[in-house]
Amino acid sequence: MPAHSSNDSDGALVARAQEGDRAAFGVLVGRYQDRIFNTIYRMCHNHADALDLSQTAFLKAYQGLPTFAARASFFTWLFRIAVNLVLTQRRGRGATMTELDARADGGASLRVVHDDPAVAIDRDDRLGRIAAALARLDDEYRAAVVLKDIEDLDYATIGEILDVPVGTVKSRIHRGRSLLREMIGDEE
Amino acid sequence: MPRPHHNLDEQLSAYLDGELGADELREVERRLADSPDTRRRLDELRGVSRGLASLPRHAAPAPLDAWARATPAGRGAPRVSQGPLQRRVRVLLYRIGSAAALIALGMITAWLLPPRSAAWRSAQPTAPIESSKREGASPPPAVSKLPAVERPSAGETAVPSLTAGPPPMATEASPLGGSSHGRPATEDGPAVASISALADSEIPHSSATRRGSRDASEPILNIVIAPETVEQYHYARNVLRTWHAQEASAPADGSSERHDVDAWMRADATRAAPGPGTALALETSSQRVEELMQLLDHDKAAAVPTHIMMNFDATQIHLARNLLNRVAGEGATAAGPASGFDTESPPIPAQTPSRDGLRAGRSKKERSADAAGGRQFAASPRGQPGDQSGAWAYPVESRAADERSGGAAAALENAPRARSLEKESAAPAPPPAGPAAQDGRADPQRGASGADAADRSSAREGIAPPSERLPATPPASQQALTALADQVRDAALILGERVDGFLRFALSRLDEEARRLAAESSAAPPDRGAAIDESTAMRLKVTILPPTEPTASRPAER
Repeated sequence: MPAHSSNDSDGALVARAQEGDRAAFGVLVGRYQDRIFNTIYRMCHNHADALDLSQTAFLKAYQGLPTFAARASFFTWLFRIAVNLVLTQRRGRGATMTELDARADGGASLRVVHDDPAVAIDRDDRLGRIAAALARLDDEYRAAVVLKDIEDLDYATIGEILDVPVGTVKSRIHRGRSLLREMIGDEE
Repeated sequence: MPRPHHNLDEQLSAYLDGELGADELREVERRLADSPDTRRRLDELRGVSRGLASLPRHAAPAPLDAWARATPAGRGAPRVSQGPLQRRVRVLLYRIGSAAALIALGMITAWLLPPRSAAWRSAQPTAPIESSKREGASPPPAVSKLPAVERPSAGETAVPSLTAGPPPMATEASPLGGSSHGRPATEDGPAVASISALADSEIPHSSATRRGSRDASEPILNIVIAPETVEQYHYARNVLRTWHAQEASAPADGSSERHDVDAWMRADATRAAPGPGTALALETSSQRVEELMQLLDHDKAAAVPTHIMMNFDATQIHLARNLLNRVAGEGATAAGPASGFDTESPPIPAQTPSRDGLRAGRSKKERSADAAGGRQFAASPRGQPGDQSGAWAYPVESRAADERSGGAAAALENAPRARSLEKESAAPAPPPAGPAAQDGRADPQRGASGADAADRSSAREGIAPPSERLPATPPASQQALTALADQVRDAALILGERVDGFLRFALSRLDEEARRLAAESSAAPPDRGAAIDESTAMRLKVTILPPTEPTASRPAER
């Protein structure tokens, strides 16, 4: 079994994984698991669901390797699987499941604070409100702003992931940000 | 000349993101230079964007890639050449295997049921029926391998029997190459430390609950989960809350925390036509199993602030037993449902896509030892001992069967079977499945059964089954049996090592119970008049306690 380097390209690893090299796929998992998990978490705002969906996303990707075309980006394909999983789950559930005791994203009480406590509290409070507003955003807008502002993907890639035109991506991102601004502003 | 934009505001976001073309960029910059409102708006959008970007990133928890490592060794990635049909088969088998995991839960509750009635005990064979499986050079039929149960008659019940055997797999390490969450398997049992309490043997049959004579909160099986961290605790509680939310409309027993697994299964499975509905039920059930297993992942705990009840009725218990029987009896050459009731299951493919990694759960040697050493579970054949019919019909719940069979001792095994027999008396059976049935080597007792004879006759004549009977699955061959066993293990591994551990735990508990029952049955006087309640709803109680030391594993957050 050939050793896999972290420098191997996605395409090379995918090709090996398609030939039955599980270790190659393991490298891909390690490469993207944090981003996938964080993206899903930001979309579903539930740690447990994010964990489940992340596992499922990689499982589906693994199972779907035979159908994966090398000309596509594995990264984009994986994100598309993950985002679709979240959207499907949320549509199926019909209600948002938010952790009752979830820590605020600021999490001031659970982190070591190195700077001015007052500043830290303000910052944490703001982050908490942003996260809460994001959780209330419609799914289509949330997906767009998460992929853009959190994952820092370009519009074209987001369009591929969401399977919508770039113009729609642009519109959703702007609409999402505007709604977030309104929600955050209402709370201030 | 710049193209006019009917929505400049929208362009501001694109401007922030550097996604504007040259013309658009110039126009936006011109507007920004001219309009303070536009600049303010841009600042607002920038603030939101930066706020989102500054949200803390959540790293994937360690187990996230566990599934990848859990993929059976040697299985390899799905081949590009794999066709759609193969993939569908894999999905189907995955569902079957997943359902089997649920079944394991039913198994546990079934065999941890408290004091069996005297009738139940009286029906236990006084000695393991193992001789038949050693007879002949050819592989024995499943019923030979599995303890036979006499045909029920009025006032008498046929019940599953267990033969004592060595604890299966109890000392085996995790098939994934390690212990479950750092808890190595011990000689006393598998590494399923999260299951810290089991049923008190004195808890009565839960069927009484439905009649109002038993405390509805009384669990048959307790699973206590003690999270080590706050995150685990929240995670487990969220899973439970999900269950609660999804089962909000469940059974009117006065308890909002009760989850009726029966309903999941019956809702789809007992309708006249099987197939998609049943598959849906199985899928739903497997989903629950996954959730439970995830719960178990967050093991360790103490008391009972949150709990959930799962009900298992006799049909599920039998279904579980059948599936486990088949897994345990994978060495047998003939299968059939090997159960006292009919069960529906998706057709078993004759060939599995992969079997290599499925053996991770137990080695071939161990499986052989199981087969030869008597790790055998209840096997009351459909209709009669020796019945090798391959008919798979989902049980129709019936209390009437109990009444017809004498009212006393029909329930657990007899009700569905009585119903089945009633049908068989008027309807043909599907083609026999086992080698014994196929080549005419039937159990001697079978010859006395008119119903079975009619079955075989009808089968030979190719009479179509009535609409209320489900179509027969393909004959269960040795290959199919082995394939199923492998697939169950495969699915367990795919679901996660905890499932596998849970199944191991279930099997070990079953063996313990088997030994206990075997000892009891040899001493207890027959009491065939006692009733066995058919609606034996076993309840599982999942308890999650807040972490006693929530920050113990998170010193940085203390």
